[in-house]
Amino acid sequence: MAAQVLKAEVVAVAKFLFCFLMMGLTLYAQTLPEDELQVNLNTYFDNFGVVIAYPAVSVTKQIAPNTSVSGRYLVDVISAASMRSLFRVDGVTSASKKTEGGDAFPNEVRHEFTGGITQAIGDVRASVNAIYSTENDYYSRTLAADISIPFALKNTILSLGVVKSWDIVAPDNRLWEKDKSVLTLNAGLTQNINKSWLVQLNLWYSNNTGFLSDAYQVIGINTLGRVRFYSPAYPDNRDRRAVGIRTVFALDDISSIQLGYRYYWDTWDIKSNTANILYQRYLTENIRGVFGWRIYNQSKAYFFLPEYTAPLELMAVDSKLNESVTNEFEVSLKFNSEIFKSTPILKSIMMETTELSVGVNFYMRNTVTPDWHSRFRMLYAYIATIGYRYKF
Amino acid sequence: MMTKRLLLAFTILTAVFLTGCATVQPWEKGLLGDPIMLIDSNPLEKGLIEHHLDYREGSVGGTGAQSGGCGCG
Repeated sequence: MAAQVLKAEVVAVAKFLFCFLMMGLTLYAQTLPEDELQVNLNTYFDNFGVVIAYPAVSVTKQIAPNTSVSGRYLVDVISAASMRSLFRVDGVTSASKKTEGGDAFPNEVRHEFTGGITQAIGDVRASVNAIYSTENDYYSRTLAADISIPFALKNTILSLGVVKSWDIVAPDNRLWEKDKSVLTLNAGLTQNINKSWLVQLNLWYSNNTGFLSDAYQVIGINTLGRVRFYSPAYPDNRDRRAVGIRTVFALDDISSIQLGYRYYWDTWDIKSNTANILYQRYLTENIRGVFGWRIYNQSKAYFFLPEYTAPLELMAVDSKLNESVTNEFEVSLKFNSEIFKSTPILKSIMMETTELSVGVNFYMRNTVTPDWHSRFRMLYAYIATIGYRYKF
Repeated sequence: MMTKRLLLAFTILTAVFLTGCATVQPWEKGLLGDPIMLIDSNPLEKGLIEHHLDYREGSVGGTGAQSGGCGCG
């Protein structure tokens, strides 16, 4: 039965995507993404003992005057010191322990494959992407389509997108498999206000259904001196909405400021505010500096409690559903190929139109009550990034 | 109530954008095309950097960057 429903959904989405592309073909339209090769290596470390490396390779290539294809391969390699805890599967990352079916070492590996096609017809650009993600206890298939339509000498660009994913959750410590389905719609409007100022508005909606809980977290309840462990229980439906505005304006010919604000609310009673500021400046002709600050706060989900004295129909202890405030700071430098012309080794890989970027983000999350697993209120994390971008 | 107000504000802003802005001619767009003026100069890189937020915070969306799969880290 579930397979039939899944098949019907796949057929419906395929029909939609076909009509979507046909609609694009009947319009007139615009520029394709540039041919490029990108290699990125990101690493994440935090004080909860989580270490993640996620390298990615992507290629975009124009194959016809109005058609471009792209592909990406990404790996998430997760290792968590907290896996030495009493829990059979790590509670901080929800990654599987190697003794419980996770990969031998590191503790968990996720592979993600993306393939896409972009079609330009006159000034309209339409693209379709398919994503397949697999790991030992979670599988995800995603279809995404978006279209961007410029108006008024390309001073106004309307973007519309739809994303549908079908996930299967198969925890190592359970005998069952459960489905999760996500449908996301987004709309954006970008407007050039003048030759040094632009504004973008974004509307976002997402419907999540199925197994939305976490199979690896546990809730300990002390009853008459004995602690019994229960699984969290979340609602099986969640409607999520966000509206955002972002603006960029030039301070002079070599620097700019980007400001953004987003308001988010959902049917689990989480409401959040996000504000960010990004300052970019050419430090020299060949080096661009990016300096950012993001501040975020959220209310807790209505079924979240830091401690339970008796089992309830809905229960959650995950800190990401708790009331919290976060700050994130970003510093990155982008180097173009000119600077490496006399550098051994690098000069051979830094062709013209190549950009090398290095950066670090420092992330701090403060929850109003301690995390259920680490017992820390503060999460400190570092995200280091190295990127190589070659336009050919 | 809050939702209605936000949607109303968005609608008004949209109407203003579509009807009230000065046209920037193609030859005046040199600075707008510079990397420092792009809202997402590298969407792939941005999506990767923001990947961790999906698993540390209870809200996503509305920023243009996306990533898929569980990636439970």
